[in-house]
This record gives sequence, C-alpha cells and structure tokens, in this order.
Amino acid sequence: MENRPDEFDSLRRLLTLKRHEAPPPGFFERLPGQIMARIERQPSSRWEQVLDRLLEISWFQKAASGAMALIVGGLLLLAIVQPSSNSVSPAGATLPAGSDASSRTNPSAPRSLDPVSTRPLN
Amino acid sequence: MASDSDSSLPPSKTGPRSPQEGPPDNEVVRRILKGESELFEELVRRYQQRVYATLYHMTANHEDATDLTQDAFVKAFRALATFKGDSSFYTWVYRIAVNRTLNFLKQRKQRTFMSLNDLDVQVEHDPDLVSLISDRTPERDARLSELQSALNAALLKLSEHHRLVVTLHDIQGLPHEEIARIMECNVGTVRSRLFYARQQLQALLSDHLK
Repeated sequence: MENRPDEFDSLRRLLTLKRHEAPPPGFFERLPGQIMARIERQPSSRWEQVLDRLLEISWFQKAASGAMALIVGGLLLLAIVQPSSNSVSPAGATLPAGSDASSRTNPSAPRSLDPVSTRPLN
Repeated sequence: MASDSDSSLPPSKTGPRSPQEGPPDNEVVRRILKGESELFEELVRRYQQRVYATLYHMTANHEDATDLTQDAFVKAFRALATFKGDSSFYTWVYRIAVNRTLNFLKQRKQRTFMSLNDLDVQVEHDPDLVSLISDRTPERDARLSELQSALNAALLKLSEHHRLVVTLHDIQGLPHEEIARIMECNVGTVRSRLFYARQQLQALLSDHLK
C-alpha cells in the first residue's frame, strides 16, 4: 500500500490549507477556563462515572438498546391487554356491593351505595 | 481573515512533542490525583490546540469542535484515575476525544453543515499553496475561499475513519504508529485507510488540483 512519492503530492499541498484555518482570536486563552468551570460546575458521582465508562463499550450500548426496546414493547403489550381484559368481565361483577337493579332502572329511586346504610337496624 | 498568535497548528512531521516547559505529564497527573485538581488546566493548555484542531477538521464546524473539545477534557478529568500511563497522556486524551467525536458524527450524519474558521494571514505565503492560487489579490482571496470550501466538502464525503486518518497524518503530521495507537488498530490498517482516503480525495478534488 505504499504510494509513489509524487502520486498525491498536489493533494498533500492542498491539504496544508487546512493548517491555516484558525479559530477566532483569543479562543485558546479562554478555552482552559471554560473547561475548568465545567468541571467545577458538574461534579460527577461515582455512578455517573461507571455509566459513562459502560456507555463507551459497544456491546453495552447494544444491550442497553435491546433492554429499552423490551421494556417499551412490554409496556405497549400491557397497555393493549389491560383494557381488553376489563371489557370482557361481566358488567354486574364490577358493581359495588349494595347496588341493586332498581337503582339502575329507576333513576328516581334513592341510591344506597353505602353497604352500612343497607344493614338492618337492631 | 483572523489570526491568532497561538492558534497556528504545529507543522509537526515528527508527531507529538513533549511539553515545552513544566513537569512531565505523568507527574502532573499524579499531583492532580493527590488533590491538586487545578493543575489539570496545565494539561488542557498543553494539548488544547491539537485536540481542537483534530476535532475541527473532523467536523468542519467550529461550534461542534469547541463543544467536543470541552467534553473530551471534562471526560478525561473524570476518568483520570483510570489513566495507567501505558500510553502517553497525549495519546490517551486524544483517544477520548476521537471516540467521542466518532460517536457524535454517527448521530449527526443527517445534518452536516459547515462553520469554517477564517484562514490565517500566513496562508498567502505558504510555499505549498502558492502554485494553487492566483497572483492577483482579489482573485487570490476568492480562490482560497473556494479551495477551502471544496476541500472541506470533500473531506466530509469520506467515512469518519478515513477522514480521521487523513486529518491525523496529512494535516496534523502524526506518524502512522501514533495514529494506530490512537485509533487502536494496526499500522497496516492506518496505511491502507490513508491510501484509500487519498484516492477518494484526489478524485473528488480533481478540478482543483494542478
């Protein structure tokens, strides 16, 4: 893979142009202070450091993405299954104790939903 | 055209240079870990220009390069306890910066826009560039600006790994061995990537090369 000496000579000369691109004046005087300010402003916990290091590992990134996809998928499935299981249960089964048919058919009848009030008086 | 006294890149063909003054990096790291955390600023001053320049050439965007340089040094500070001294501090911090930038570029893929720095005043006298630009001043400025845009656009068309090799070798002047350490690959891979990247650039810039 060795190049002939002058094969890329023009290209290499053109690439020297990149060395002349300079940031605004004073940029490198300010940058260290900005970095030190960020370090002081955001002290990281041990947990953040461990997480940072794990996120650098590619297999961990893939595992984390997979786990997240599983959680989201599971939550979606739960959201779909939950309402449908409620809808198949008999309507009467969900009524509170003490409610009767008359209170449902006759709106003017007094509603006594409190089980205490239906207890016979001694 | 802006100029900055300390912003010109070292045209080093000999790779990273040892710090000009002060204690060696490993000594500074040891003192930081013992509690003199303010000394980290000294390490930032030693390597900020080279790290920033690499990230700028990788992103072709000053603001992104600034953020990434800050991120890299903040991350290096927090991970300093894990620096074992197997490689130089310079290689270690470069590796952090490069990995962070490669991740950033993967996410940025769909929105690439350039925010290029001005060329410094020495550009017009660079012997390598004299033959590529016109003699007359107004045309020369326009030609330089056109070359700068074309060159950056062509670099952005390379894959991140190919762009990185060209940046580190042909622009920053690092030797193949140092690049292999930074990219954690073998020297043969560096050479083949460099060859392929140059071929691609040559084709992309054929109209601008004499």
